[in-house]
Amino acid sequence: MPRRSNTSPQARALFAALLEQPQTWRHGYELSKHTGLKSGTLYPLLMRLSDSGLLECHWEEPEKPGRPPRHAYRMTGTGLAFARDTALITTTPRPMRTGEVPA
Amino acid sequence: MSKHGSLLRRIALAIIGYAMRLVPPDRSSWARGMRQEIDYIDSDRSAVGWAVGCLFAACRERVRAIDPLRTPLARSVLALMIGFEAFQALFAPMMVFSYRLGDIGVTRTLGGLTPGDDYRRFIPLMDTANELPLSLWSVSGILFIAAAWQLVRTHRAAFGLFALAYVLSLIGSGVGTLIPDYSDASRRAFTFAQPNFRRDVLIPAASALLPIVVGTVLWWSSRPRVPPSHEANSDEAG
Repeated sequence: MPRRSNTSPQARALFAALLEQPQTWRHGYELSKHTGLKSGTLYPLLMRLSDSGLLECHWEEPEKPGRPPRHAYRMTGTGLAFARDTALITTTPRPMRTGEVPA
Repeated sequence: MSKHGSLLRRIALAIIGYAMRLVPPDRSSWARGMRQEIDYIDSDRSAVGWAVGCLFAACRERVRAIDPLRTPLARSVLALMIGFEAFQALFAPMMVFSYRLGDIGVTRTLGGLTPGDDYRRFIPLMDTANELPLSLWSVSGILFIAAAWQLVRTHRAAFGLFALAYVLSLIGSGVGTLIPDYSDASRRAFTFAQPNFRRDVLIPAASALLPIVVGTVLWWSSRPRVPPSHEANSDEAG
């Protein structure tokens, strides 16, 4: 029986976004626009990932003066392995049943 | 980016300010992170949407941080409720064993606590009671007591013990209904000539609801608490 991921679609969308540039620090609003997740969904998810040690965060100094520092996020080594594993499970095709016609 | 003075922008800042006050202290860094993003959102309308989402996130974190069993008083009250469950589970075994061992004084006292106030109408029930459900209820009662003890000692194992005890007590009741003689005697013992709202509806409903409420509170409190955030560096923004 194939393994099925129990990760939510929102978490998978976030993993996909973070996996695109795994070494780059990303910001909340940028991630929200990229994934289509509202801040009310995105931040609890980021917090859970950080609690589990899958995500690291730091404060980034502003590029332009007069702007406030920003909280930035990226996956940890463990997080990257987990996200890749999740992506792999998600994309593993379901085995065909006998007599099933491919779509 | 619009000026900070626009009405929508001020609404967004007011909402996010409230959200920041709402989050638990160990999430304050995250709250500041959410707040700072507002200054990087050009559209005032989007800023309001962002702030509302952050308010939801803050409420969620606030609720998650609630531990109803933080105080000894709350734990003691819940332990008493679990004690009541233990008494309920042990009631039938105590009554049957005291009757069979000839200790009628205990049987009479326990019978006095039942609707009808007389142990004698339970004699057919006690005669037909099978050892299997009685054993399951006994084990269940002991596990309830262990759960209450764990709770008083603030051990998180209370939920597991309580759940196991509850499942065993349900299995005991299920097994009891499968024994025809016992099932018939039980039906006769709990059939009354006159309907009574308190006896027929209120007490059974409260008895069914109590373990669900207790189990939910125990489960909620047994969830892992929020560990410190994984900040890559310690230079916190002011």
